[in-house]
Amino acid sequence: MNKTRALVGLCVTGVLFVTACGSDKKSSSTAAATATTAAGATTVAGASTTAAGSTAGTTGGSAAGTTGGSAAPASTAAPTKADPSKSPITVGYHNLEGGAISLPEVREGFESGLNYINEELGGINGHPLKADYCKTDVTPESSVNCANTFVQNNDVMAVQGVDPLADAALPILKQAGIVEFGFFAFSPAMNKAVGDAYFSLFSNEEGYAADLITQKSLGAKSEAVVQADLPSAHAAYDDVITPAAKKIGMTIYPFYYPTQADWTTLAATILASNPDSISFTAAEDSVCLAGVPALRAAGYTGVIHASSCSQIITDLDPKVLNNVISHNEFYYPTFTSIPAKAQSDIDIYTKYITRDHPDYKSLVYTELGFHVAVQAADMLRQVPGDVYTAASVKAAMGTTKGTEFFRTNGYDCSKPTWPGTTACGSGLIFTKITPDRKKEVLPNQPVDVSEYKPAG
Amino acid sequence: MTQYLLFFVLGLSVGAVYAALTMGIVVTYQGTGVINFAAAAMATVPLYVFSDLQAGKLTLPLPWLTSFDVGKLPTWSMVVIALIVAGLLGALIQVAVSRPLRTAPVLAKVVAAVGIMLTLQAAVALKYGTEARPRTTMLPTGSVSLGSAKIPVDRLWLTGLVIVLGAALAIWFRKSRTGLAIQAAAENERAASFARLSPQTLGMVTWVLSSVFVGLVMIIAGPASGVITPGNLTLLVIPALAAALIARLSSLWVALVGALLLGALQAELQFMSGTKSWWPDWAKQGLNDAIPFIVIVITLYLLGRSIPMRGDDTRSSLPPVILPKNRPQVIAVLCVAGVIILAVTSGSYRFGVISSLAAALIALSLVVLTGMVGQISLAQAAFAGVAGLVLSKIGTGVPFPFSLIIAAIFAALAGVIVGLPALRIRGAQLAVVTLAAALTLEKFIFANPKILSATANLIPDPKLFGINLSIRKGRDIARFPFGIMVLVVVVIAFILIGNMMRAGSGRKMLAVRSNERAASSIGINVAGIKLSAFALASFLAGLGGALIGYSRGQFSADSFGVFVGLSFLAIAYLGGITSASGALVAGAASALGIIFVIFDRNLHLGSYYALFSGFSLILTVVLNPVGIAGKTRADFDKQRAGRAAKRKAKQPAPLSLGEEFGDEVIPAAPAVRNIGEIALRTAGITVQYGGLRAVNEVTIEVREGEIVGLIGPNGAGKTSFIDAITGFTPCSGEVYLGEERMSGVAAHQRARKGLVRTWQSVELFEDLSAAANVRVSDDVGKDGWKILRDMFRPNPPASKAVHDAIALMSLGDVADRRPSELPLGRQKALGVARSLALKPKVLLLDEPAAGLDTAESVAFGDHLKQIAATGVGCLLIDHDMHLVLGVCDRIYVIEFGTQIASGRPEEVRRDPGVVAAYLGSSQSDDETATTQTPAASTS
Repeated sequence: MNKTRALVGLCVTGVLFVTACGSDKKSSSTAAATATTAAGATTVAGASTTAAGSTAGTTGGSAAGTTGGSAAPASTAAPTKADPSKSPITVGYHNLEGGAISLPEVREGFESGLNYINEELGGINGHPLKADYCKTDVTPESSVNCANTFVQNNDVMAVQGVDPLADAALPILKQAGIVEFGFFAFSPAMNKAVGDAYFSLFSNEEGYAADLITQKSLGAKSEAVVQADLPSAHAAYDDVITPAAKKIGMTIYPFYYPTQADWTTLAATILASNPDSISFTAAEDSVCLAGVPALRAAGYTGVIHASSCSQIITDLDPKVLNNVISHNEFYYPTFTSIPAKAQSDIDIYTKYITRDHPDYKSLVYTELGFHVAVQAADMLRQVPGDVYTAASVKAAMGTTKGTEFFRTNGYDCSKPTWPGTTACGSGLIFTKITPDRKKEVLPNQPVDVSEYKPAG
Repeated sequence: MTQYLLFFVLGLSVGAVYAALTMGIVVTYQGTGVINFAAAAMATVPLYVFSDLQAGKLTLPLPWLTSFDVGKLPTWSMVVIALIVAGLLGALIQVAVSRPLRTAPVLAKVVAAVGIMLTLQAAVALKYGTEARPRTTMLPTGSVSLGSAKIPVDRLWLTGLVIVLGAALAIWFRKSRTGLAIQAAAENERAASFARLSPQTLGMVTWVLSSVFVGLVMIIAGPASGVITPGNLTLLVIPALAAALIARLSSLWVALVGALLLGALQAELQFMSGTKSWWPDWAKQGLNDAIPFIVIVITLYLLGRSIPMRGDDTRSSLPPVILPKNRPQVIAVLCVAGVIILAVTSGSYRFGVISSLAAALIALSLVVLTGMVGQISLAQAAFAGVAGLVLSKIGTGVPFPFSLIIAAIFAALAGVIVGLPALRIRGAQLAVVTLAAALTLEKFIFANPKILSATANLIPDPKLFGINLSIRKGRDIARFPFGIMVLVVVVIAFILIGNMMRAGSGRKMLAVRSNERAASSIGINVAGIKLSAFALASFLAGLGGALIGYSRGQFSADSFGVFVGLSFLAIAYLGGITSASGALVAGAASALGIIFVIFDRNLHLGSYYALFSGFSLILTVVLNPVGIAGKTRADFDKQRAGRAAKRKAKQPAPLSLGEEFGDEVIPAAPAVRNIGEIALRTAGITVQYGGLRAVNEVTIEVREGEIVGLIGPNGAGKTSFIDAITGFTPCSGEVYLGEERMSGVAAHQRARKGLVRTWQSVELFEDLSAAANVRVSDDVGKDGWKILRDMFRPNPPASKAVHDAIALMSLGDVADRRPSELPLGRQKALGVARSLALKPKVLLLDEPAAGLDTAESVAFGDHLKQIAATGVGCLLIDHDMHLVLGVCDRIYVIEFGTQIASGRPEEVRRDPGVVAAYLGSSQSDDETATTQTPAASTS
């Protein structure tokens, strides 16, 4: 069933700050990966900067001060296979697939990640890691169905690929004592379900703050914040953007686009306020594909923050992409420079994804799926006592720490990286688009938002 | 000012996109009766074909057919290929869906359109992927300056092209033989045969034409119609439907202009709400989606009529209603079965059963509103959402079950508000208006951050007398006590609604569904019944929504959106929207219902599930347009009737007397009629239809017990006069019933006060038996109270007036028959009996003898004398001069709306003016004049 919000896609809840919207096409990404590897990885300046509450990440190393596992590849250690004689550990995996918005590549990346875990990382302390796959279709009903399935199948953890309406599953999972894990909290309740859900990356709130900091650093004194016309977006403007903008010293003009927007009209509306910069803070590819050209056609030449959209890189004329920046949660092969640790991770990922799913279509989706699998395994390995139940996993989740796959920062789930959220990680990486359709990391990345965090 | 002009021009270009869709929808509706909810989804297909062609590939929307490399083609050839695909798609839909459903109810066509929309969306996603594709314009680019603003040239081109193309289509529609035939067929299919075009041909023309027209504009529109995704365009159908409403689904010119202006209005609103500091914050959320609809609804409401005029087609054409019998043993068996099913299932399966039960209440709400009253509502899911939202707001403040009831009451209030337009808007237009209401609820209420929390809208677990009735506890995701609680609520609701359906309130609802004018004429407050039905149905939907809320533990607005409402209507229709058992079937087929769970757990359809669902919807409605439960029940009844007939054949056949009315004896006629005081007096009644004065200053009197004739040639204004004095058409002049002034009194109130009419065209309630047609008179008034009473005490014995009316008109032997099963004479008698049961002071009879043979006419005359002998004043309109001259005490004659004579029959018969105008010489001279039955009067 088509849903009204289906076309808002992954940003249906207005909190999308991550690459789930993006979809670098394989053809270009594969080539880019090859080129990057050939050029050799370099450390990104400022990569060690992290948000407060998170351990300091270093290139290629595990999180400082952590005692838990490490998601980083043991590049020097011999691969260890999971012990098939040990009981498998099964997690429930829910992801958008089969509906009007379908992201099978996320699942494919996750499957490759599981293979990597079981073939090289010894599974979960010897136990093979398996998944119950459940498809969602941007309806609460499908998310509820998945949660019911996971409870019924005694899965020890619910792992989210991309499921923007997963909030509907939360009461079921919570009641059954099953913890939710993913790379980003797409839905508002998941973002706030402290103790019941954990996400490896930064929070939605951090995304807003990082956007303002970056735009300010690029010279803007005012910004048009363009968001989907959804309650969560209005709430974010009131609760996060306005206070942060006040601290940073920027003037904000909020704009909300309806489900079916004419971007030429909207661009004219936005430009009527004459902003220095424009940010699509949380938009999916379809918005960026329509919005960026419309703003350029209307004569705007300033900086546009095109959320984490990446399809614009391959699909739009490079001329309109001048002065377009985007944020990234991972290092991708399409970057002009990549830290050694991240490059090592990308090499492993490339090996598995090209072996398991040679016809994969999206680099970004498969990479994030892979990340989720590796991070989930890293957390499960930190469950004490070799007892893997929903209860033991949930109890242990709040103490897990480690490094992050495809990233240089570490994660630390003992304390939210932004108060009151379920984020275990921190640090957005802003890039600009080069004329040859690559991403160049801006200075001082990942963005440090610690100065603008609320106390807590 | 420049800015306003800029946004006006930009808005016109968006309106141009709406206009194409709107005109496509109107043409399709005119040609096939289908409100094409899939119009925008259909346009997605040629867009994808065109997009692939731009990349050098030809990808046809056929499963398992790979793409062809075609290289770089000229733009015009790519457009042509895409439009050929659009045309073929339209033709396929005509052949596979529209043609088989040509004579199906409107609702079946709505469901089919929803199925097409779902199927296309799923098929496109599978074939072309879900990745968004950017658009580029093929029109001239650049900009022109308008003061400080720059207007994109391609938008000006787009607007201009659509105006030209739209005007061409409108002219073709109005002037061409095919266009005229399509319009004629919309009123009467046989009329289309004048142009020697079959309905199938017209259907094919309209589907292909609208598909190609919309596809062409969408391709030309480029970025103005947004990026391409499988679902992006689908949403454009909503503003297009709004514009189609402005055009009343008939005028292409209005559709074109209305859609353009709608786009302009939205653009101006967007500009002002986004940039003007004086624009209030609370009015920013969902503005663009909702405000145009609100304006349209208000406009339609003001332009609409509380009672349809003569000639308005308001027949529901829904399947026959299957009234529940509520046999205690059957209910007991079903209850025990429900408990056993809940007991033997667990986990997801029990959750599926519970979800089915809750959803069955929402489907039952559609049975009441659509099945019983004929009001098509797409907002039932939204009403359910209102209850869920209220429940989350109540929190623990109100204990269960009061919280449940309060939530449902709020839903009922929302239903009454949404139902207000239904008092003046009908049929397909009402369906779209309720869609607008659902959208408004979704955007303004469910998405309003001032009302809804962005993070948590938790619903506390229900508890009763300390017993925890929560849906889940620990890893038990569907607890038995919760299932029992839901079962109890559902059983109570079904029993009470079943009682109501088979009682007087149900009869009134079916009377309204059958014929609003006739219902009004026997005192039924049509508006009251509709509002009562909206309230009751919304209450039921609210119960369902609240139970769904309890089962989720929180309110999820996305579970109650516009398209969910469409989905509910579709499954309710397929389950059987005219039977309570159909609601159970629909519940089982709902999202998370038991059928879904069984499929999900056992049939791994994967990515093909959405396609399978949409296709199943189409297939089911095509193969079984009256719904699953309705067909099953009808087959069962047919078999049972067959068995009963065989049994009876072995025994002496008793006279069919009906269950309650068969033993009625025709009362003997009183020997003497006493003419009493003036019962009806009119003064200067004038009826004006535009420039035509149909009735001109007509003044009459009818006394108690008197039979007065009103005669005149066809077109004289006789029926218009009756319409006027009974409140069915506006008039000037005064009407007094006894001493009471009737002018300004509503039609149904006049009937209740004793000014009762019959109808020239019979106008019986086809959904009711003959006895029920008469018995409706017992049920008028106190609608709200009687609905409650009927739930607990259905069908008290019929009144003496009903018995007398049936007996007087000798209808006892056909009491259980449907009106359509009776010969015309008995239908006329039934119409009179129905009016008599109201105990009228004055009875206005509009050609009661038309179509009767001589013997029947004589018998009717006797009946009429008996009626008058009871003190009822009778005004008789008829062309049967033998009857009129034989029974009337006095006669009025009108011609061209003006009274030309009056007096006793013999005086009138000899009046030269009357002879010249109407009777002719033979009638005046021949005392033995026999029945004259002029052609059916249209006066």
